[in-house]
Amino acid sequence: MTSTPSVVIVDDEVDHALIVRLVLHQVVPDATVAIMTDPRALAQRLVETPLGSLVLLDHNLDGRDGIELLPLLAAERSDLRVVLLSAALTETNRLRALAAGAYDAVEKPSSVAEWRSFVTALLDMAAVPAARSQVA
Amino acid sequence: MVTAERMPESLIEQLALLDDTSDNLLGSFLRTVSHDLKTPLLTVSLALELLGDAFPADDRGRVAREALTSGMRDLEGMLDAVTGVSRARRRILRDEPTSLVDVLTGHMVISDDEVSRVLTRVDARSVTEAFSALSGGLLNLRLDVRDDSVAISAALPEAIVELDGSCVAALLGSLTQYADTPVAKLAACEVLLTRQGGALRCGGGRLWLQIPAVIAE
Repeated sequence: MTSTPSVVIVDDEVDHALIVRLVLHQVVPDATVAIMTDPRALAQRLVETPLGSLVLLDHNLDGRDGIELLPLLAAERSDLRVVLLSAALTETNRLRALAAGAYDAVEKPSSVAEWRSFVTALLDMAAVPAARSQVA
Repeated sequence: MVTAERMPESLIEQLALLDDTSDNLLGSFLRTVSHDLKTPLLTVSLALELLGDAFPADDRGRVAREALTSGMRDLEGMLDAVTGVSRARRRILRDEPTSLVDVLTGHMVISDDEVSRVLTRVDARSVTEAFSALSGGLLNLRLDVRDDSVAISAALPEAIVELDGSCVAALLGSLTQYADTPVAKLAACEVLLTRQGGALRCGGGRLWLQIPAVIAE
């Protein structure tokens, strides 16, 4: 186990995912960040994701409701901390996400400063093993 | 002339269904607009910030960047205003009666009527959020207690003192003009009150609320 934080961005909007990765690297330079733009068979595709990784799961994935993926992820990889991110999150959906096993559910931060406080609050720097950045 | 009374029952049902459908479509449209436009806006906003960090700009670059930032801010304001209306249409409302005195706490009330036994029959937030939209502080409220409702009015802020009629109509008629004004929040409150049998309108330089209410025995 190393102290390198590992983050997986699950977002069908490639441009947004790439920008968020840049922001994450600015906020946490040594973080390894993987991007998954295809939500199909997500749980299986996360098999090689380091233990305890932080997963930033978009709410609306190419027409699919990210909340519906949460129970599957929890069943396959209960070690992952999955945070549901939405461009516009309602209280109802926040509660649905938490009930479905999300670690948290929040609106997408809109500035680098907001990302900084969001990510540093979430990452457990000491407990997450390393992986190489990759676009899946 | 065709009147509702003379229409066949089946046609009235069809019209009602059509009305429901268009209302649902409007709700879906507002929800989609507020959600789907937000992500690309966030992307541009973050990208702009990163560009600013990576490439120190000369004068032209600075002007261009400031224009982009300002345009983004305007777009975000407009989107937030639409999101506010969209959420008000779907917000889960509390339906327990609230004492009118509690709703009015913190404001100066001018009224000839006894208000201590009046219970409002709306989610109190529909009213208190309208007050907050007008001012962060104390308001001078005029009150008129009727058999089944309470009418409350307060002066509109200078910026929107000319506004006349529905805030929702004003906002959706011109996001550019009203998105970053109290009209955006008032429009959301108008939606909330309408859903509960009340009303919110502007006129004569004042905001008017009509709130369903009962007088406790």
